[in-house]
Amino acid sequence: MAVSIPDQFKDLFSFDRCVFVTLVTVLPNGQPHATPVWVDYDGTNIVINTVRGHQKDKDMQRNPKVTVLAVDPESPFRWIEVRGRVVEQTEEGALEHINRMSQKYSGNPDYYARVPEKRGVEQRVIYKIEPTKIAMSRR
Amino acid sequence: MAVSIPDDFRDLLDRPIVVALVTVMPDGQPQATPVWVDYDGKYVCINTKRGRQKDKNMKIDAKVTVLSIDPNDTSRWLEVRGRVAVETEEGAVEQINKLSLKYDGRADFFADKPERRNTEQRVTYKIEPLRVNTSD
Repeated sequence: MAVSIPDQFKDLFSFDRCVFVTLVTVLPNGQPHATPVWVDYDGTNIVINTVRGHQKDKDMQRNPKVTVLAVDPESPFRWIEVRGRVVEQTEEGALEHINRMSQKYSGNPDYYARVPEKRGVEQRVIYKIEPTKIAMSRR
Repeated sequence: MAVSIPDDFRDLLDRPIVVALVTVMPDGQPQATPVWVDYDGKYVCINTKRGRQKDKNMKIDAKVTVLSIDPNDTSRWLEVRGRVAVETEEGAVEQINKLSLKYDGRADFFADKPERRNTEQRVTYKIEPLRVNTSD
């Protein structure tokens, strides 16, 4: 069943903070695969943007069980773990979305400005993760 | 086959960086928690408390993964995929005190939580790296 991110932890996913979160997917052999990612939150789902063909893209297509860990960079004792499942993947709007994320995290609204060799070459994809269970620190 | 942590990324385990430890729940869902870590040259060592979820998930040979992100440069990170090779209560209090000194500057982990001293059982887990991914 879907659960909500508690209000007191929403800042870790907001555009006011630039928190790199850990996204965990599961490899075909059952080994967890953890990578740092930019993150977005639409009020219901955690939203991740990746590239078609990357390991996490393949993992999320095969296995919807994923987990996100966000730790407050200002205070490592403050954290939230969101276990969830992939409920949607779409290429539509994914380029606009990565540009918005780029604006948030790097201040540049053109994501490919710093990696021009990838412009038009890679296909971006948005993944929406519905939180199903949440664990967090007390603070 | 066991692999080593590349020398130029060892600092991500040697510095007091809180890392993400990922275990797998019985239903296959990844479980991720922030933990203190140290590296003994062979194993990535974690210390937890008996009965915690990660303790239950970390059976010998269990697949676990550690991600350390450089707080000074988030594009620099180290992912260690491995297996639980050793689980022991022996020396686990000494190890948590060592970690407490490294991360918190206190050589006595229980100094600020005396009610937990001698009531909780600490456990050391040693993770054998099987594959390492890095980025800088």
